[in-house]
Amino acid sequence: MNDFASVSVVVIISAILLVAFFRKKNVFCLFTDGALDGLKTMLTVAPSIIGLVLMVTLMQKSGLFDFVGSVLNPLCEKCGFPVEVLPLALIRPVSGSGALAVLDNILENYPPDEFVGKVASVMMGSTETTFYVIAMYFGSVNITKVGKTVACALLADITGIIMSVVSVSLFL
Amino acid sequence: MNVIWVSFIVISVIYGIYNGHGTDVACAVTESVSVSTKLLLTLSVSIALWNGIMNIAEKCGIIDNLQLLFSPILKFLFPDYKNDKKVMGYISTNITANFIGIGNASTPAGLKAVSAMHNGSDTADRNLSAFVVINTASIQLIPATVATIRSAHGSNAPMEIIFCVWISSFVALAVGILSVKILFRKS
Repeated sequence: MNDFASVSVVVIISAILLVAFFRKKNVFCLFTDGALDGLKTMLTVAPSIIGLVLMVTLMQKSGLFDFVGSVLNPLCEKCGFPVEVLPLALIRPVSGSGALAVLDNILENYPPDEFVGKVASVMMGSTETTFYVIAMYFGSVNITKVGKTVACALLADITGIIMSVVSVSLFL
Repeated sequence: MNVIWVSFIVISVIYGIYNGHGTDVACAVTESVSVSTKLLLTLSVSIALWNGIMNIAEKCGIIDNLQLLFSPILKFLFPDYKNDKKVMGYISTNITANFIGIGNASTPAGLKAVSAMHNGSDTADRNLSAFVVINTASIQLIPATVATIRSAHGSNAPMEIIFCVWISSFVALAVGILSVKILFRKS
């Protein structure tokens, strides 16, 4: 099953390339155009990633993560939630760059192919920067009464966070 | 973000020095540089690569094909716009682009969809809420960024997480949509 997952990715890529080729597109040119766009996007988020990696590294080296973990550990243990991924769950809805920095930090300290690393990866992949998305879309049309929407979005986030623990325990 | 950044950094420094980790905290500044360098380099190349692939998918019409596939689901989710081709077009472009992971294409379409659905009030209605919740819990076909970071930290199977990502985000999305349908019930 795990091999199948990895292989399906390259199959998807090949399928896209083939479809484009038979539809008579300049496939390589499209690739380089898109890649350039990607680099530009990256350039715009790089400054915030640099700033947030600084924050996360400081939080970890100062022992703040361990402190927060030890405070919340009893609660997490009761629910069967791995306390190591808690920082990721907390920052994920607020900041995408911050979540990247935290994920990078977690995978540095815990092997990516073991339970904690897998849960963190799934959590990162299956949730979004909720508050940013809400602020962007509702801000664009001046909607200010967003309470019920935020509640629904957060409920979805919490579900995603719990499901990442559950799914990794069940399937990986 | 402003408050979070400043307060977390200052609290970390004070907490670290207070607990006698002063040297560690000082090293963290320079260490974060090498961490950022590695992360940014791997991420830039990975994002460039996937953006390139997905640009091919977009420009050769695969997105349009996927939209046809999604349209029955979207008609169920947005019954009020079932017959509005323009709004449905924006919504489906946004959701399809999110699905295959091109943020550059999804956000502009999403903004157009929101402004077309907005009726001038300051309160989010059923459709706008459903749309935004779908965007906050969107399913990603290939979690490329996560896989790249996993790979950079020595994972033997960076894409192994893909099924769990699909399952988790699908359940999260279902819960999100269900809660919108319940909270914004027509009274």
